[in-house]
Amino acid sequence: MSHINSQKFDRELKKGGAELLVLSLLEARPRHGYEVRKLIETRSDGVLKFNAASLYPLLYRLEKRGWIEGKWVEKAGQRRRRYYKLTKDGKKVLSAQRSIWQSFVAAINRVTGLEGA
Amino acid sequence: MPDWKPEIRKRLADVPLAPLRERAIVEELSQYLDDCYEELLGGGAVAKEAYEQTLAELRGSELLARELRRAERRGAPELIVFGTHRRTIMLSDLWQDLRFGARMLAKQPGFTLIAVITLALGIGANTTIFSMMESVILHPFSFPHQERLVMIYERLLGTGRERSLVTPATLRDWREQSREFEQFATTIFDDFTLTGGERPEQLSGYRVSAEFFGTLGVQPLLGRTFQPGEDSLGREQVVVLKHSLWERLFAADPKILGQTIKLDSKTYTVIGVMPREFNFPHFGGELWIPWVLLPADAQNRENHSLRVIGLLKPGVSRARGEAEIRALSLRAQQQYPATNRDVEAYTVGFNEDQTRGSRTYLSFTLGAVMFVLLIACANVANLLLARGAARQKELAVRMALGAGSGRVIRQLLTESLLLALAGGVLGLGFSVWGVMALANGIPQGFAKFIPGWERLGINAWAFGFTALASLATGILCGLLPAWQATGSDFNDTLKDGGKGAASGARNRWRSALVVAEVALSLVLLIGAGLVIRSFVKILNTELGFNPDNAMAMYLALPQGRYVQPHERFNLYHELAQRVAALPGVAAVGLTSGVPPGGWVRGSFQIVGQPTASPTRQPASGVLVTSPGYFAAVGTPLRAGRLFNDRDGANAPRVVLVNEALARRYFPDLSAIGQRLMLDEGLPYEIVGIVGNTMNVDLDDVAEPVIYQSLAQRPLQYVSLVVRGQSNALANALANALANALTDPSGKESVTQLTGAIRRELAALDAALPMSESKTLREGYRERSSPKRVITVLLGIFALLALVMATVGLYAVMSFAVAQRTHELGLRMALGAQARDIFRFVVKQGLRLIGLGIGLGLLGAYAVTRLLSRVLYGVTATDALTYAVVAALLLVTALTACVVPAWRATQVDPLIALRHE
Repeated sequence: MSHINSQKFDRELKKGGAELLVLSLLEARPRHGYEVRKLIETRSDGVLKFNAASLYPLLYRLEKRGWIEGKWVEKAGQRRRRYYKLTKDGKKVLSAQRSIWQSFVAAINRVTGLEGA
Repeated sequence: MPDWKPEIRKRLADVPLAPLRERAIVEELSQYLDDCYEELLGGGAVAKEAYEQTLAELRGSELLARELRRAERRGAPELIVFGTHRRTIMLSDLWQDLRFGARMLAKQPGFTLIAVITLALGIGANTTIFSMMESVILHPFSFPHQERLVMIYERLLGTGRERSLVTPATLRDWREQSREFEQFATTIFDDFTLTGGERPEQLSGYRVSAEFFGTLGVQPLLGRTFQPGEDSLGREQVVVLKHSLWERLFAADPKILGQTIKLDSKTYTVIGVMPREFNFPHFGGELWIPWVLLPADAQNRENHSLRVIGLLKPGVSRARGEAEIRALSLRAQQQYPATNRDVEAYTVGFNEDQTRGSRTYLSFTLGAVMFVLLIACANVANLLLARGAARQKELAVRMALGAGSGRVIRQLLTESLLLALAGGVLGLGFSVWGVMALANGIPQGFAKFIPGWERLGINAWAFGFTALASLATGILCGLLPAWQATGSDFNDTLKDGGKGAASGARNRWRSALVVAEVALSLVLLIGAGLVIRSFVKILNTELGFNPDNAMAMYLALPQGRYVQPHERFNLYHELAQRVAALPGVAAVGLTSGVPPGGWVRGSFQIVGQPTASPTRQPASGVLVTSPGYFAAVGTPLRAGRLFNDRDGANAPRVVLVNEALARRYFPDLSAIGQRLMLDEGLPYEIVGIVGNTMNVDLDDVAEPVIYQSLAQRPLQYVSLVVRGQSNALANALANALANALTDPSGKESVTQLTGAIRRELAALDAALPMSESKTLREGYRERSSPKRVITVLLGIFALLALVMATVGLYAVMSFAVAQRTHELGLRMALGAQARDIFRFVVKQGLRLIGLGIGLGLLGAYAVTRLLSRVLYGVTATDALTYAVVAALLLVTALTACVVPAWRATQVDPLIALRHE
């Protein structure tokens, strides 16, 4: 399977899929930007790829909406890094988007006959 | 490790970022690139390869720049404010809100103009009415300890006389026995003849106890007021002048103090002049002299003649004062059963008593004007909701960008407050005009009897009220739209462009507001309709006299002159004959009072029926008239005969009664020949029945009235009623009399006639004063002016309400149609005819109107009862008025739906469907 090119992906971004990805990854624990990018890439087996120019606008937007919260964290012997954490609102949005996404996928599956395949 | 920062900065160059924010972003991104680079190197890439691949991470950075530009626009100021106090942030927010709000309003001048004018009308109307209320009800007087003042009256049980004045002996009891009152003052209205000038002058004034000015706590402008003891014989010849009299007769001479004037042939020394605004009591008097309690009167418990004002001691409540007066009254009932058995004293708050005439009218005018403001608020709230819908996307973006809902509500409220404030300023302008129009609505001749009317104007109170009203209005009409705008899920809004559940809720609110507007206007319209119908009825009611082409002058004989009744009668008789001989005069009558009303209250007993106790006798009006009076005022004879010259002092005593009295007490019209025992204890035979006449309050034509013959009771004062001839020769004069109010040349003719009459009187006795003339029409206009003002006010308010409700409905329907263009287009594409669409839209409007009218009818039914006290000839639940007004509103409101409905039929399905 070839990976979806980034221009198309950008468009998907607007439809909320990317938001869902980021929010899901932050659900377990706070992460910094590069970590998010790596996780998306590895967990999707390289199908989904972000670069800095597409990831950061998304992070900033989510932060502005109050769904995630960025914080500079300094650990001993390391440079300070900015970690993003899911907020209360973000959790609500995540669960809503998840169910929308699930029904969307299920619908696509039903239409395309992929269900149970 | 390469330094990424210059590369990143280059790409963010045209994003306006706050320096601190930019540094943070650059740092974060550069760390990301570091991670990326290290990993690539770790994966075996050479430095150059790794560098290029890492830079590729920034490919498409215009997206980054764009997103940042959008995201940072609003947030920036909050980020760079360091260590500032929370309050300064709030202030800077407020300033930002104000500037932003003003910009938003300026962007939509049409919307802003309509909203501001609507609010200005509502607020202006309220300020106008509030100013009137402030002057005539809240602060008609500015006496220093007003809250301690009470008026004291006596109720004569069983006679229906609720506000009888107090007897001299009772007042003396109170002065001796009261512990709760500091002092009691009393006033008696009286007429005086001022001599010594060019011609004798007829003046009204008051005899007051020495405590009078002290009780009110007022200071004179010049000189002093009465001292204790100056209300005793020998010291009482001092006078305090009203400002207007001082100006009119003494040219505001500052050296007036110490000069003497002659009142009723007695010499009085002027000791003081009151300030311009002092006008109390409100009966048109222009001077105050001491009231002397003669020893003979000190024991009098039957002559209810004193108007008593009590001043409570500091700290004593009105309830305690009231309790004491009641207790004293009970004691008197036991001590003096013969005179006081059925007498019960009570107190009324000073302001409450003095303003009770105005209160009746103002209470519901205030209600009406508040309705107008509510409708204005509903209208503006509606406009804001509509605009809120258009701005939904803007607000959603702002909230998505992190503006809290509180912040957005504040912004929206700031905007509605700005609107209301602008409305308030404009409204204040309207009310300046409104108050002027009001002040002119009541003729001078009547205004002097309304306490506080002379103070009517826009003052600090009105300013404060306007400010508060504007504030409340701003919040009232902004809260719902603001709450609506932030209550919805902005995520939905961003996705579906504002057509989700939120817009549905908003439409429901808008519809509810319109229903409320329609209902409120209907209540107002019905109220106005009732008052207008009632006023028209008054105008069309047979007054029982003919106010056109007749005028009256007043003559009071000085005390100590014409002491013998026959002297007085001869003087009157001679005067009437002389005036009747003047050219153009058709009829001359003499009377104790001029219609409307004009009678004093009296009681009587029917001879031959069981005697009722003096306080339980039937009451009636009493008027003393000459034979010519009925022709002069135009009151018709119904049965029997009028007075004639044979009904002299020594002839059998006779009276006439009006139809109302005859009907009530002699049901089969057998009144003629019956005899009545009047107050002075003498029997009079009823010789004739005359038509009813309108009473002074213009709300009853059927008060029982007894007419006595002037020949048999020649009073010390009399009014001369002169009717002009209405034949061709005397037309000029007749017109002059009829048009005296509007036609200056007519006024001149009246003045000529007045002069002629004065000359006739002077020929008889040059020392006798006669008042200025007034046409009966003028008197009637003065008396009807409060009702006229109220009718006009309610009419204006109702019209405003109707227009606002119609505009509101139009706006809602237009908006609904615009919003549903897509749906309508679809319906048409699916085969709906223009007619169906039209019907569909109108039906929608009709549902709102119907609901509003239903609620309005219920509301009107509940509220208009308050009006019943001022209605005449119409009941508060008059079905015709309800039906006609509801129909009027229905038609007007339907018209407001027709244009949007027609517009809906013009929707092109193709365009409508592409509309998304």
